[in-house]
Amino acid sequence: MSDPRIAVIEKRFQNVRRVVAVSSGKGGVGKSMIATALALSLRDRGHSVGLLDLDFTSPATHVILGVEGLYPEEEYGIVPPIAHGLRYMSITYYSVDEPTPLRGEDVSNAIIELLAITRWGELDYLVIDMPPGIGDATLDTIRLIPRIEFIVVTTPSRVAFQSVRRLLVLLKDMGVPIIGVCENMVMKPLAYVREDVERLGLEYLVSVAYDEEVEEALGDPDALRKTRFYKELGEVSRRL
Amino acid sequence: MVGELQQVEHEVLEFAFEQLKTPLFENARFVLKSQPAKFKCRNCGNEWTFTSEGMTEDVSEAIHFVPEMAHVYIRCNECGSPDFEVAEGRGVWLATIKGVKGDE
Repeated sequence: MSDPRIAVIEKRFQNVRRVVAVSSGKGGVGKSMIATALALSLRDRGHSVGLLDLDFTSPATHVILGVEGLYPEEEYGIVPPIAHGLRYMSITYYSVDEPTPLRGEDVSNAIIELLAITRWGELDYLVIDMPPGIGDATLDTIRLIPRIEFIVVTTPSRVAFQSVRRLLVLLKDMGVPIIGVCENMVMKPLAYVREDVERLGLEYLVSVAYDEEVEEALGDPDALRKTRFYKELGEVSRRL
Repeated sequence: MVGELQQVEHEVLEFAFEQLKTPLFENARFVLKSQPAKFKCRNCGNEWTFTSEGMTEDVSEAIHFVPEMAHVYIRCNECGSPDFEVAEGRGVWLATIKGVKGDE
């Protein structure tokens, strides 16, 4: 018995130049905000960009982008619609606002299914908003998506960074490329995250200050573009 | 094997298989078999069989594209839990390949 879906996945990514997974060991650090802003920022620089929300339990990028009334087109698989210039794919097309209680094996199956049916076409960048942690989704994306690279998000809190550090060590041990670490929601700049990231031999990409304006910009990418958060994050898209 | 949960149209699969009949496979025979989808509740142990009867088109389509959406829209018909196992008939898979070794 063999799974025909696995063979298709590599083909789906053959014209995607770079796949950037935005991940974290911990929830609530702003992964979805950073993934969405990064995708928009790359688009602003003239690249063709896709955004894939793989956080099935707590999808959020549709809220940040203000996506409503879009639905993928079926054509030898499915073609994600364009939202604010991004090829945008999310489980919420199918789950709407209902809870999606999936166990590990179901998470794997749903990821395999989405990766196998989604036709990205030609993209310079596909940004993936990952679920937090080092569970099934993280292991499956590493196993299945060719050439995947990670941007890892933390906050200055030691509570968050302890878990983020474990993710970094895991990725390093597995030989997965790590673009670097973003420190988000910084209220009082401290050096310890940067120092520890550099001690691991990794790149500390940016320190993004806590920005109250972001909450008000939810659902409105143009308002988001005007925030300090977005401008500071632009440094990351410039370096990609 | 075609699991019934994903509600794949056999005609579509048959058409796809026809496309595989390149000269090398021109005499190949593709056999499609359906398997009913069976659920087993992890909460109360109840077992039941999937039916798309009474489902809206949107729900049916969601489950067609991503069968795990069953956990969003289907509940155990005994205890109401979404925590069930798709014991049989989830997707499409290749059960067996038979062939004869040629000269080449």
